[in-house]
Amino acid sequence: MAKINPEEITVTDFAVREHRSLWGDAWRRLISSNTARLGMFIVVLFVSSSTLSHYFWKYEPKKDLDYSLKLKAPNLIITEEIPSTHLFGTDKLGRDIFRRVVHGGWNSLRVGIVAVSISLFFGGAVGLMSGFYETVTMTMVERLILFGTTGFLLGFLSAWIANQYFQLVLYTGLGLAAGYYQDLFKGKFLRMVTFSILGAFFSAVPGLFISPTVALICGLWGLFTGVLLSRPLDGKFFSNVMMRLMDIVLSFPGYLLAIAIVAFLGPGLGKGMIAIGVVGIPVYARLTRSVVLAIIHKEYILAAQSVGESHGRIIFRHVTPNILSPIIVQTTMGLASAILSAAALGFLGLGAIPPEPEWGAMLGESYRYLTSGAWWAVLFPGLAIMLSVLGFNLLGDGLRDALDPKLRT
Amino acid sequence: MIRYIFRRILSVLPTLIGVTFVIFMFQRLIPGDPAIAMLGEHATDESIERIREQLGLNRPLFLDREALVDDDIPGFFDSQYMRYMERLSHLDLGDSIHRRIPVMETLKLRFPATVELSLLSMIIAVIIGIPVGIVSASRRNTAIDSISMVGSLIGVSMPIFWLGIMEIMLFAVILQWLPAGARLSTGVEIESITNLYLIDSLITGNMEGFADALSHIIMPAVALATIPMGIIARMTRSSMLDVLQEDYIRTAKAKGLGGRLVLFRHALKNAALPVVTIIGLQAGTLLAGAVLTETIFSWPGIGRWIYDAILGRDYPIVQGGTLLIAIVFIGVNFLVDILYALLDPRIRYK
Amino acid sequence: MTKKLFYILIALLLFSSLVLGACATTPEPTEEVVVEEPVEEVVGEKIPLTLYYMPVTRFYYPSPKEIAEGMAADMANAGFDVQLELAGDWPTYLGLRREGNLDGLYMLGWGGDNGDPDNFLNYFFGFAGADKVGDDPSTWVKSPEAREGWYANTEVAYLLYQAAINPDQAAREAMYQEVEALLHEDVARIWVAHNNTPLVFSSTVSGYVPQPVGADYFEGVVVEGSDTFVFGRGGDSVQLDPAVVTDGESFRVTGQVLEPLYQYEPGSTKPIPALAESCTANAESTEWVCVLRQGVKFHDGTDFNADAVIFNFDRQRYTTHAQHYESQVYEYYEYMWGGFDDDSIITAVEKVDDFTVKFVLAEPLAPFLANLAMDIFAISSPTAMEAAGEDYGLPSNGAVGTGPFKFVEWVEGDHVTVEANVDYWDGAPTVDQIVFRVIADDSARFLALQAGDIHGFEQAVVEDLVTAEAADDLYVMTRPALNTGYLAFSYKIVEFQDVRIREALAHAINREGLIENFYGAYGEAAVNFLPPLIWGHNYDIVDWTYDPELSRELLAEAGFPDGISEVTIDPAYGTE
Repeated sequence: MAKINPEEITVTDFAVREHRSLWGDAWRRLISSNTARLGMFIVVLFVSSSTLSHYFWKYEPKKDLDYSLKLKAPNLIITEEIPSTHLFGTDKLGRDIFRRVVHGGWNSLRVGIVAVSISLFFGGAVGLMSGFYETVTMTMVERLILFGTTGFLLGFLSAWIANQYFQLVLYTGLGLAAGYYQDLFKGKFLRMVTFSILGAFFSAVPGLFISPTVALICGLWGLFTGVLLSRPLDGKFFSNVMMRLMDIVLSFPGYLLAIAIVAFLGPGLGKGMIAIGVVGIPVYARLTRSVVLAIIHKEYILAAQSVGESHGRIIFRHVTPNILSPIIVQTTMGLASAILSAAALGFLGLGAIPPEPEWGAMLGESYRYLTSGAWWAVLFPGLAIMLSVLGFNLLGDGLRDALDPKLRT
Repeated sequence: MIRYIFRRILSVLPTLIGVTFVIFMFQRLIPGDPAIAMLGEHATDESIERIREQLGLNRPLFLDREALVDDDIPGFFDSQYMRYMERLSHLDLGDSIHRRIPVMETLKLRFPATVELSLLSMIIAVIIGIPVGIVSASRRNTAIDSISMVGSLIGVSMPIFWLGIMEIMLFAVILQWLPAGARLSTGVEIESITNLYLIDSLITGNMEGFADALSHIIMPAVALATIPMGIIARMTRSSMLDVLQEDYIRTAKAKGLGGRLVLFRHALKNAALPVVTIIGLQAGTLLAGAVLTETIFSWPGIGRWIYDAILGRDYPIVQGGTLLIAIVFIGVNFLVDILYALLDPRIRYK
Repeated sequence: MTKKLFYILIALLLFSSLVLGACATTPEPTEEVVVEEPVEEVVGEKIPLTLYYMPVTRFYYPSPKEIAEGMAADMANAGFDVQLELAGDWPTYLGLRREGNLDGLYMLGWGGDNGDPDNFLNYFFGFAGADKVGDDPSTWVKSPEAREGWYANTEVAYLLYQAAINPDQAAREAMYQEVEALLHEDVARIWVAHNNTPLVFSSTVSGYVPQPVGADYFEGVVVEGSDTFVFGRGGDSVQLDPAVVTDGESFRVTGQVLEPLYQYEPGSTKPIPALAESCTANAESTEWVCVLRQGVKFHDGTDFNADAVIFNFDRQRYTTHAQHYESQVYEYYEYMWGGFDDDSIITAVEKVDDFTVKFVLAEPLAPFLANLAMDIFAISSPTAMEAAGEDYGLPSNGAVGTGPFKFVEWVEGDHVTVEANVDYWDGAPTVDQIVFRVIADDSARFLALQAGDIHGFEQAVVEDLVTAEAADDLYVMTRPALNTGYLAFSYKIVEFQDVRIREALAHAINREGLIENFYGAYGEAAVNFLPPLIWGHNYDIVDWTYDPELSRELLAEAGFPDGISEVTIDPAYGTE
């Protein structure tokens, strides 16, 4: 047990007791932690210096060039040779590294925010729906959507083979039918037979207009689809499929996947944001799903359902506010890793288009000058990366401790 | 137990197939031509076409629906993907487009390099991380605790490529104690049994080779180890703290057992589980960090090899290498699951 | 208001300002602003003025990204508001160039293959196959080629065609000089630099002979205190069968193990006899009779003779030849001799006797000897090729030839080892063994040299070169430049069709500064396409001066007194 200092005991007068809210509590806990304060300080410093410098300390990288100042060590005193001060020295093109580091923060910040937003939005949505529908039974409308979409997606193969895109309509129809008539021959082998024959029929017949072989192949696919649609697909099925897709994405090492995506989309900061965002989606999906599963059995959810609240309302009013804590923590730390990934991409030459300052790119360009002693060109951008990432991690750590009182520091 | 393992294997299979599908699709979707990559500035339209034809790059990607119109069912399935899967079924990863060297051969040369680096990093991370975590947990809320927790957060926040560069700057450029690239110095020979130089040199008693290999691997290994080290330290600490709060620990203390005994006998065993999980998962992350470390340290591993292949559009290499990494990832996760089930009987019966 | 509400408001404020900030980005470089004219005239699409830089380092541009940044800054200071753009990685970049879709200025370069000016100029400015309509070359018109940025100059193309078939060296020289003058006047491209590739060696090494074209000569190397010469390189060889590769690292090794019929004189581009004692042409230059050296043996003990030569040439030419495999790509055969089978300019390689061969050509080919001296056409042992089959040239087999060094082993990705051939017809080499080591990272390579781990390597950053020159235990040699880095225009852009604007750009770039900063003492400003080393280089051309003021004047004259940042695509090229 911790020692209690007499000074720390506050006597509260019940009558004028402050309204203590959940968030207020959390804030208080956050503020009281040393490491969290340090993290917050770094983050605020990072955000404010990036934003302020972007809007007020104009920098035109396109015009910045001075060969006479190339690779000069940091200097604070103006000499004849070097007519300006350079806190962090200069790089190969004679540009002031301090200025580029400060402005580079803006790019890193943007990448972090956009990438995490993408991951959060898509991953969170997937995870939320997966977790939710895994436990709560679907309404008729939702079920129809599920069956219909499954039919639609499966229909693509057959439609492409025969080049008859109206087959998509048939497949969707079959899906909707299977969903609507869910009691037809329920649980019996006859159900599977019925739908598989229907599926085979509806894809083979249009195929016959092309050729018997096409009809055969399409028919087989229709058969398979019918079998699948005849089963009682429900939220668990949806959740399984989604999580399996997430697993596939997760099997790839993060950096390689991001590099491949950037190779596909082309270079540029925006594409880099998308790449990092996409790579992060499974993380948020898994997290959201597990958190949703954890709270979904709570009484207030069951209560809401028994009262007859719609699924949408339940999700927004009950589920979402209660899953916020771990999501916030993950987002903060996700920002840290997004900044790190962006720097890695920049280091490899993918990412910001020169001459835009970007920390990773600055590192990647300058490290070949290490052997000639230009340590400043490498030290400061890297330090900037590390500090900003550290700041977000410290903050995230503090948030985790503050938001969930059950977790101990 | 066996049934559990069986079930897990079955659930892993579709993921693997999905992975091959994605790898394949991705590579082909990326614009740019291996033919042009080979020819460089000297490319002419005719030579590009000729090479594409020769390499079978003009065949349809997944299914050939034109063939179907001609009632050609085998032709329908004769596509790039099918050929790829067919070769894969007898473990033929194809040949590199640029070099015509079988991918499997180069893999056998390069994979051990990455494995050695990853293993050593993991060992370093564990040797430092776990004790730090234990000490932190047992001295909770003291200065040591704060310092080590901030320290491990710094480790987690460290950009590996920067740390690597800093190491080179300090140890190779300024102090000139350690070499900055490759696995061995010129002329040093180590008989290759496993192709893991540190182990091979110890087995054959080649001390000079061992020292040389160690001097080359130590910097990249330390750089790679920082992130797992931080994570393991933090995980150990939090896991230990959880366990130390448990009733049976209080019982043990109440019984009069000394602090050390309590720690090791009771607490550690039960705290081990989440830590083992994390260690397993980190193995995958290590493979991911490989590209950057291998670039900086000129390490002949698979990370940089695959990266160059992506840029050179050498599809068989990308497919083979990424597939291997994905298999290792999945395999490690799978092993961790099994281990989990072994250590915690409650899982098996779910 | 409650504390909770207050905190939420603050958070919202922060968040929205960040989001707003994130949205207020500078427009993505690839965003195209389409100007819609509601009335009659079809005006082309407007795009930002873009400079595409190369994604990889090449021998003619040692630091392409930074060089591009330097050029862009120079241009910005002369009124050209240029946007830098990375089109993608190397294959993507080359692909776009091939389609003519690098809409703006783009960086590229060229390395000479055989020391002949035709090799430089004809690929870019000569007639394409499709232009050769009808039998009278003087009626041919060069049409704009996508690959060359849509530039077309019929006068130049015709001159090049004539020079290629004229056997008279002096006449050819005059023609190439005129071509150079025409190209310069027209500001067809902006020529940037030639790179005399620096080679850094430990002071214990002597006797290395760098070659402007073809592989360097290693046989005279002496390393004090060691009988092995270790050469460090950034990448591994692709294969050791020279007929199927195009990369310098492969040739670096095959050049020691194999030899062609002719070779380049040490230090120059002039072809001199090697495995052939002499080659003489007939009057029309359509037949070449080569007398082969006698008593030469391949490393596997078999004899070098006319049969071997015929085998080597035929297997590259005939797609049906037993040694010509589908998986192999003979890039250079097609490129130098026009095509395979019946498309080949070499219509026959006949055996006159055991040591005399006759090459029959479909038409006169002036650079014939220069082509013959290329590493690609080196003679491998037919016995070895047949024994290894498709795997000849792979790490398991290496190469078997007549050269001063024999192949020993190749550990892929790590090193290739060759040892001295003491029976070499031109005398045994002075070094016993050469190890070609791969160290991918530039800095690591330099450190390895300083540590004594390797004895020499090629190309380094200017700062390291300065260090190397100052160091007592290192020295630098240069390989005379047979390369040119340039900046090309896409003539699809209306503004670039005006020669004043092109000239303005030429005067805007501070090439001296660029070279000093990125090539060091080893680069020289390129006056025209042909490097000074090649005959045909026109010494009378006056280079563009670095004159931003003149640039601004020319720009104003052309209608852009306030500078230019947007350009228009010529509607004749569609809206690509």
